Amino acid sequence: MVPDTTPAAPIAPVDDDSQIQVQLISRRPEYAVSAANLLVPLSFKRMSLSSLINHLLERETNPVPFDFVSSESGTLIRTSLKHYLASQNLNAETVLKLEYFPSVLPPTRSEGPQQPDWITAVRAHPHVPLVLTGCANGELAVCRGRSGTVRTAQAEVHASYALSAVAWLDGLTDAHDDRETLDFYSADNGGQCYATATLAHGVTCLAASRALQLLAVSDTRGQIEIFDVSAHDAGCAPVDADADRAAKRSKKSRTAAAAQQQQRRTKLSKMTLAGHSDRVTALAFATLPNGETLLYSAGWDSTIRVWDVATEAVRCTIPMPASVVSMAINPYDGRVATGHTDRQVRVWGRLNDVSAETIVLSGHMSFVSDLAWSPSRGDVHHLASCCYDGVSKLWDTRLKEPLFSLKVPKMEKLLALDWKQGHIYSAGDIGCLHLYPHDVTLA
Amino acid sequence: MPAQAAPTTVTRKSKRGLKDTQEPAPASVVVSSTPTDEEAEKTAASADDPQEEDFDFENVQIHDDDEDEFESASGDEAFDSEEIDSEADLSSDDEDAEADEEEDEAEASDASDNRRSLASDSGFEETIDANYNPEDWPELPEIDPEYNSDTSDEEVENTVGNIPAEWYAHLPHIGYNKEGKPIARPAQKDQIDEFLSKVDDPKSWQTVFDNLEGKERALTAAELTLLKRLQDREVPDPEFDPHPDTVEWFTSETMTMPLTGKPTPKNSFLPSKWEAQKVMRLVRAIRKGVAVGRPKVVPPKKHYDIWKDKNLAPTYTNAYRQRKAFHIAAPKIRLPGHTESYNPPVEYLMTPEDEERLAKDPTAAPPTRYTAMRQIPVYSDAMRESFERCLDLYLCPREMRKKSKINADKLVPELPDPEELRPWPSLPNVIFRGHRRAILCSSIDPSGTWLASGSEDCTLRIWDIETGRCSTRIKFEEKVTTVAWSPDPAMPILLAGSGTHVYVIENPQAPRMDVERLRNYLRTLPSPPNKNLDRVEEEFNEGAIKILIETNAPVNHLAWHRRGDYFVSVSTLKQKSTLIIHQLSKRNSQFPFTSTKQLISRVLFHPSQPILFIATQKRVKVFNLQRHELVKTLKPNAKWISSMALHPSGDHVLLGSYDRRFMWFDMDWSATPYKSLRFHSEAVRDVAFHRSYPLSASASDDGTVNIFHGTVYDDLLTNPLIVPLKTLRAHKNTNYTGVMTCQWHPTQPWLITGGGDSLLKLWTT
Repeated sequence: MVPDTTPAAPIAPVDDDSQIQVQLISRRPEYAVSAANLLVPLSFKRMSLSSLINHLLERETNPVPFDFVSSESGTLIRTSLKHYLASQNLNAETVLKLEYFPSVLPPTRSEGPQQPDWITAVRAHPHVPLVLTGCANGELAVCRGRSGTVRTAQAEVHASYALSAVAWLDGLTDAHDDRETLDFYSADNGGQCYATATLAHGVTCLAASRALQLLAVSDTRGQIEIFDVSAHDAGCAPVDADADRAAKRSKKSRTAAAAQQQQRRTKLSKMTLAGHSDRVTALAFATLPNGETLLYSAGWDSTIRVWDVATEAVRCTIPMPASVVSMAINPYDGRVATGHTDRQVRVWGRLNDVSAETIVLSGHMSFVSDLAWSPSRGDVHHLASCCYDGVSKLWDTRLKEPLFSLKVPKMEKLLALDWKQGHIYSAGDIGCLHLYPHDVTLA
Repeated sequence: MPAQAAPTTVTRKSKRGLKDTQEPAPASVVVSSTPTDEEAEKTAASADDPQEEDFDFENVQIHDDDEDEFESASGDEAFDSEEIDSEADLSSDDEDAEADEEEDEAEASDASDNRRSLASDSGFEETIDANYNPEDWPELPEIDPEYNSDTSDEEVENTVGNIPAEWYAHLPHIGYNKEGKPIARPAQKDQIDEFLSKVDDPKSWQTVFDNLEGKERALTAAELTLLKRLQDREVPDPEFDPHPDTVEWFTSETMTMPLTGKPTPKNSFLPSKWEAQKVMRLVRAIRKGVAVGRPKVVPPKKHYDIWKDKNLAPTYTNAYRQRKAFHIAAPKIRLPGHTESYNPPVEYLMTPEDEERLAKDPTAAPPTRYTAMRQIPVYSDAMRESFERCLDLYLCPREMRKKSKINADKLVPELPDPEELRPWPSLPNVIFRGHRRAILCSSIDPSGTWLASGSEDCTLRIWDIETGRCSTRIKFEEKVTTVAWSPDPAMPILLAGSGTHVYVIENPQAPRMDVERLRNYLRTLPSPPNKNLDRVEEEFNEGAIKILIETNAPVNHLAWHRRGDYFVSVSTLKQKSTLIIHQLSKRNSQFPFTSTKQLISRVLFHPSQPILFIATQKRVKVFNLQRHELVKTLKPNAKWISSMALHPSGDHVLLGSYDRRFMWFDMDWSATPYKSLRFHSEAVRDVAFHRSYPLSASASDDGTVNIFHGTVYDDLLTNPLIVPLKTLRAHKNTNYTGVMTCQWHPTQPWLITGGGDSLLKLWTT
């Protein structure tokens, strides 16, 4: 047993034999140990600390790997304590407060249904285990995890145009009823935004907000059109455990959708936001704590523009160091992650303040095609990204290096990624939907 | 007595001046008896200036040592002048004169002789005989002190010296005698007395008032003569002959007694035979007309070199130029110390350890002690070393080496850091896979969404640039040699040249509205007037190919006019090219050039003017299409032009050639390239200008693409700034082809390259 002690003799130089006082804290009651300070050698690394806690918890037979975060600096401990102290300019006489939690295990890959062409867009529903995939041959599929495609739809609407974006009309809603129809939208390179309108130029991305009943559509020329979708005329997906009933309903809804299509096409946009000088590649609605809704848009003109949807005005324009390919907004702390053409992922703490510290995550070898923050509140720092080089990476923004690099067996260009409901979904030019069950439900 | 020293020197100067200019040299006379210092200075000034014509003799005070100069000519006068001097009681001057006299005694021996004889005459210095008997002394007549005494040596009573008289004007005395007693001022005559004395005294006209003595004095006859001569501007010396008779020592006349006894040479009176022959030769030559006078040599105009460095540093080069010997000092050698001494102190001698250490170094000379110089043994290597030294001096004389002072870094032009010129592409981020054989051509649509590429595998592919997905593939019968996307963003059509055909193809993945508009537009087009040249095949209407134009030779280049209505096609067969301009809206084709015997590699329309650039094998011809004339011919010194690109302003042209050159032409500059760069090791296949960024690129068969920054300035004075930024190792050289095509993205600083390895790559920042 490591003695539970009062401070020993003062430690003057930091060498490997010396020890440091450590206070170990956990927010999970089942892993909590006594709050007293422990004297730990400086050569200890994550594994040694983890085994120490397992020892304290008397879990030697079934050990749980732990990760440690310094409470003061908020950085993950990945080196020895000595190196950590040196990097933080601390001496060994301080009491180190370390928070620990079960470490994230590498996710295991499983394959979803195979699609006939490149999957260019993947969106999972936030509450229902359904994944919407858009294909480059114009086919749209709603899949239920590994079990297979629930239905494919809108092939006749998009014809042979490649789908560029899909979106659920999601949002923080209490709709958990299995019987409810869920609305989604899809758009293609030919300018068709399914169930909404036909645009003059190819659509690049979609963002839908259930709270405002708005759909934002951006095109290759940098224009953003916002449509009111309150009339519930989008595509629908049945949410039903019974596959037969689902097939029937889908047929029904397909005909209904086709009937309504003509009148929908003439639908006029509620507002047009013009300002980007080049293609807009990412759109996202974000709700502020005060209830205001902002629309973030980013594009090849190396800017992020924040629009006030109510007033149709640009709230701010933030210059970026390179063209933006993808963007994700953290639903909990509002941080914005951007993927760039220069192979970097950048995480912006406060967008208005250019001088604010930015985290640059590098490691990808091509365009960072899509990004997703962890949907659970417990791991606010986790970010998933995918890249044209066929590797998707899981990042902890407290670390410079990725936590895991998720490789696919065949060389593939990954084009889309989403992270919902404890699953990371990614897909690319092989047409295969990759599922990574990654349930980090931390307190 | 500084006040007197000055006049002395002055007079000496004046003496020389007078002598040089042959001015009449006056004997010493003091007219103004009390000259001030100022007057003396004036005198000096006037005496210094020999050109002074108005010789104001009244102010002149010429010192008595001048008399030495004139004694040889007029000894009596000098004596007289001295007498006058002493009579004028210029005691101080006299003293000075005596001092000078002693100094110049040797020179002026005559004068001193005179004075001695004078002294003996007056009986002051008589040698006293030993057997002197007063009875033997002869009776001499009584001397009347009034009339017979000689006053020449009379001392001046007043001893105040040569000072202004007014200094004593307020005093009752006029000076002091030798005993220091004041000399009372003599009673002043009133005007009546003066008049009376003038009337009574017959000599009153020659009487002057002496201020020093305070009494009147009569001038002597000699003095009067001198004054008269001076007033008449004659030489003061009456004995001087200003016009002596000329004596001709050397004359032209034959002398009875010549200076040399040499007989007259024969050739002085005999006519020269050789001269006569020479003259005759010239006469004959002139008669024949052979002799023409020498051409008049116009000496080249010499310009004064104001920038020449007059204080040339004594370098070897300068010395060499000036043919001067240039001494090169031998390098300094350290002076021998105790170690080298033949009798060094004991502490300098070697210990056994030192000897051991030194034994390894053959060049070291260990200090050795000898009690006497004669004990030192003969240096065994002396002969050999002196021989080698001589050999060195003979074979390798010391010379001044010219070292270049130019820093090598300064020869490199100052270019900005490439990092400052970002953005430029450097990373291959999207790879377009699909073609089976080498890429031959590529084109990007004006919105920057689509890329069309033609390949040797007889297919044309249209790619989505962002994702790299091939959206359309069209198979042809022959290689697709050229593609060109319409510059009109609303018209999703592109041209493709394959074999002898030009295909007008719509982009099936273009936005629905554009496709619909294009189809409506094509429906309204008239049927082609020339069936042979241009025909619409019915089966193409449903597919992507809309129009097919047949030419008489394989198409090798296509280019659009900026409005997207006209386009030009070049078809080449057996090194002969045909250039056809097609109009899409009228379905018409025309041959603007009746015959082109040359091979045309590229043709481009000017981006804003009706000007056509035609790159033939060795020249670029610039035609104005409106005026039907050749505007300019660019002459790159290249063997075979492979590619051409136009700056968006139209004022700059890039050329690539198969002989590895990359050339930048400024249309306002000249017909020769502004810059010709050879960065590639193999043929340049394609060059490209970016539409909005100051970037250009050259693609080569060596598999690399060079990115250049090329800022073009609006003012005509500043030359374009061309900075090489980056070499992209883009494609592998496959079947002797490297990078075949490079295209800039219309809106982003991105580059797309296509190569012989059947890949296309998108390079981004």
